[in-house]
Amino acid sequence: MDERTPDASSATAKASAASKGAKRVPRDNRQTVGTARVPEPRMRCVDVNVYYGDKHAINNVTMDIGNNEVIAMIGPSGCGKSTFLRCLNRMNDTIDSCRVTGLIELDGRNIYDPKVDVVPLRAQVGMVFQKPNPFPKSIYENIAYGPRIHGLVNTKSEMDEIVETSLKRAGLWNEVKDRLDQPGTGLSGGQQQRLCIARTIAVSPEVILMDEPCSALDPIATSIIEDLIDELREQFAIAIVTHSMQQASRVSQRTAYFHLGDLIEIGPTEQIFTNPLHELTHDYITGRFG
Amino acid sequence: MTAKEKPHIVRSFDEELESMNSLLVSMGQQGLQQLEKAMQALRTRDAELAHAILRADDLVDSMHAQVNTLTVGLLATRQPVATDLRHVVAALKMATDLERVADYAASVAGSTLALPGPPSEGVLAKIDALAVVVQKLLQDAVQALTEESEEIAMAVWHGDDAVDDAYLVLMGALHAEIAAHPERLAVNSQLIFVARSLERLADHVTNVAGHLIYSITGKIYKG
Ligand SMILES: Nc1ncnc2c1ncn2[C@@H]1O[C@H](COP(=O)(O)OP(=O)(O)OP(=O)(O)O)[C@@H](O)[C@H]1O
Ligand SMILES: [Mg+2]
Repeated sequence: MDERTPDASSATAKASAASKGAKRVPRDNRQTVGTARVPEPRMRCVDVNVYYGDKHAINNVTMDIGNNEVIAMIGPSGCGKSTFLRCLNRMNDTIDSCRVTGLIELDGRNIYDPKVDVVPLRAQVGMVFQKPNPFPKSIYENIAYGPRIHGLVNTKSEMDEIVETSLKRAGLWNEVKDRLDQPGTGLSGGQQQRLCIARTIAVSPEVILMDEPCSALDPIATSIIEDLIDELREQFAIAIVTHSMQQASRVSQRTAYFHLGDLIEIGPTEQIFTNPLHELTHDYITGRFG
Repeated sequence: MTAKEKPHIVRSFDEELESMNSLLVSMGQQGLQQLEKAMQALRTRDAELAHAILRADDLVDSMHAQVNTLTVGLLATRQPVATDLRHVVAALKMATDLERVADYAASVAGSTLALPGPPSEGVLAKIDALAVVVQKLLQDAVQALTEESEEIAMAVWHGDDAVDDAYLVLMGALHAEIAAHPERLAVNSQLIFVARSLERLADHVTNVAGHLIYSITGKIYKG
C-alpha cells in the first residue's frame, strides 16, 4: 500500500509519456529468447546449422530436449521444423545435398561421431511421420520387425510379449488383437498411426520424434494419440512438430518457435501461450500478419 | 488492442475484439454518467433524477450480458492465446466490475430517495470531495480502457489511497455530526451508506485497472 501514489489526479499526466502495449523482443532480433537449456537433458543441440546445398535451412540453433518432456516445435511452413527434427536421428543423412554442422548429443554422446552406427541410433531416437507408413506386412510383423533386426528378442514368446505390450501401450491392442495376421495397411488412418507409434516404442527408444503425427486424423483419433503422448512421456522424451497451436498447448511442457531457420523463442508452453517474449512468436500464435 | 497490435489474419476476429472493447468503454462511460447524475441528484435532492438513474441501471446490466456472450463466443470459436486470451479473460472480469460500479452509482441514487432531510453543508462538501476523487479515478480508468494504457491503468491502480483518505475524512465528519446533532441521525446514517457506496465503487474501479494491467502485460495485480 505504501508505494501507491496518493493522488489519482496525476494519472493522466503520467500517461503522456506512456509506451503502450506489452514490451516484447522486437521482430528484427533473431537471438533465441527463453530457456533453451534444461538440467540433465536427454538431447543437447549446440549451434546446429543445416544446409541444403547453398540453402541455409537451420541457423545456429541451440536447445535441449529434457527427460520426460514433450517439446512442441511450431512455426510457419518452411521454417525448418522437419529439417531440425530430422537432425536429431540423422535422418538428414539420407538427403545428399544436406549438410549438418554443430553438436548434437544423446545422453552426452555426439550422435554425428563417425563411430556412431545410425541403425541403432534411429531405434534410440525413433520417428513417427505425418502420414502413417506401416510396412505392407501383417500387424504383428509391423511391430516384430524392429526388435528382430535390433536383436532385442530371442524367442517367439518374447516377441509375442513385445508385440502385445507395444500395441497395448499405443492403445491399439483391443482393436487388433484378433487380427494380428492381417495387413497393417488395412487399418484406419488413426489405427495405422498408433501402429506406427507401437512400432517405434517396440524397440525401447529414448526419444520419439513426431512430425505432425495427427494432421491426417479426426479429433477422436487425435485425442487418443495425444493421450498416448502424455503417457509415453513418463518413459521417453518426445519432440513433436505440429501446426495446431491447440495441440502444442495440450500435449507439450515446452514449446519452441522457429522462424525462417532461426529458433526465435523456447520456453514453458504455458508461458508461450499466455505471454510470449518475442514479437514474432506472438504474431504467429495469435494469428496475426507476420 | 488492435490499434497497438498488428491485425489478425482473420478480420472478423478483430471485429469481435473491437466490439468487446467498445462495449467495455461504453459500460465505463455509462457508469461515469450514472455516478455524476447520482451526485447531482444527491446535492439537489432531485427524486425524479434519482429514479431515472435507477431505471437506467438496466442498460449497464444488458451491456454486461452482451460482454459475457461475446467473450464466451470468442473463447469457443477463436481459441484465443497470449494477448488475445488475456484481453478476453480480462474483459469478462472488467465487465463484472464495471457492472458493480454502475450498481453503486444506483445505490447512491437509492440513498438519495431514502434521505429524510437535507444533508448539512459541511458534510455535503466532504461527500463532494470524495465523489470528485472517485469520479476522477473512474474517468481515468475509462481513459485507460480506451487507450489501453498500462501507465494510466497503473496510476488508477495506485489511486485508491486518495479515495481512502477522502472517505476517512467524510466518515470522521459524519461521526462528529451524529454525536453533535443526534436529531440528524436519520439523514446522516443514509449518508454513511452513500460514503460506503462511493468507497466500494472506487474499489471496483481499481479492480478494472488491475485486470487491464494484466490484459496488457500479463502481470497479475491483486487488491
Ligand atoms: N530435401 C530438401 N532439399 C532442399 N531444400 C529443402 C529440403 N527439405 C527442406 N528444404 C528447405 O528447407 C526449408 C525448411 O524446410 P522444412 O521442411 O524443414 O520446413 P517445415 O518447417 O517442416 O515446414 P512444413 O511446416 O511445411 O512442414 C524450406 O525452405 C525447404 O524448402
Ligand atoms: Mg515439416
